[in-house]
Amino acid sequence: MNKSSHISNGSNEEKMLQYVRQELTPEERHAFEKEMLEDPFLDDAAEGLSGVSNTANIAHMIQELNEDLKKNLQKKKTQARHRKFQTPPFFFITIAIVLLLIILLILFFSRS
Amino acid sequence: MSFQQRHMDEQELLDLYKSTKHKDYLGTLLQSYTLMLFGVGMKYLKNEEAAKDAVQQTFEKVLTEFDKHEVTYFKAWLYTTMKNHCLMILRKKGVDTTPYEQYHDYRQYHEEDEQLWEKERDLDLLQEALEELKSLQQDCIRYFYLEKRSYAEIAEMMQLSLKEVKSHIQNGKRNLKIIIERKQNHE
Repeated sequence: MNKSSHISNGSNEEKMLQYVRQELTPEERHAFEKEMLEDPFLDDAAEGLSGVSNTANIAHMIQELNEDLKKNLQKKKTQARHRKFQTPPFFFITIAIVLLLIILLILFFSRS
Repeated sequence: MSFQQRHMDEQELLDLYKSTKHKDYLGTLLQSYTLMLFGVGMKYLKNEEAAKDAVQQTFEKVLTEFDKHEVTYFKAWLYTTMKNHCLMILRKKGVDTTPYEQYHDYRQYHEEDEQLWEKERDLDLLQEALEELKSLQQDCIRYFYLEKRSYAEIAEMMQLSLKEVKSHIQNGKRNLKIIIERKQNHE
């Protein structure tokens, strides 16, 4: 996943984790909650993350999910490459039918 | 990263994906939302393993079905996809999901908010509207928006739970908008 890594959401993620771990200053906390009120996605996410029993594990779980995503993407790429170079079965069927027709035609004309 | 900047980067990645069909671009977009998706999963499913599974299933859904949809606003679409997936899991378990099935249109959300706080500049009108709110909503709104206090501080001061504080602020904000609109139409 080397393309366009510039969208990395590191600072936002860090802020969210700090919010959940209650590490933000009262001003920062207020500003983050104001943002939550304007963004249902952020609001749901913060509420959900606050329910994680051991917040120290969150970063590790996210890393695992991202690793799985990378593997999944790699797998899809390999599958696509295989599909590209694999001769489709209908190709052989078509060749067989054409050859059969040619043989039949030769037989037909040679008899007549 | 500001909302605008982030939105532009997302748009660039979306355009790149649409023109090249390289799934790495979608992957980059998804990766920037893993934490938020996991949070949404936790909110609805209340279980870490179930939330992780739901995130992985949503990733797969996006990677395989993205091309079938006309997506212009990725963040909103991704949120809806994840939320709907979680609600579907809950429905399969026989859980009533009606309270969660509120549709949020992001553009409408932001416009509404901007409109409300544009009106906030008319302080007299805001003051009058505030006084018409129910007492708890009024106090929560005052503490949050005017005194810039956090949910936790307000909860402690008012002896309420965090959920109650959030709910009073959300409902108060909605009611404030209705009252201000009504007052402006009367003028």
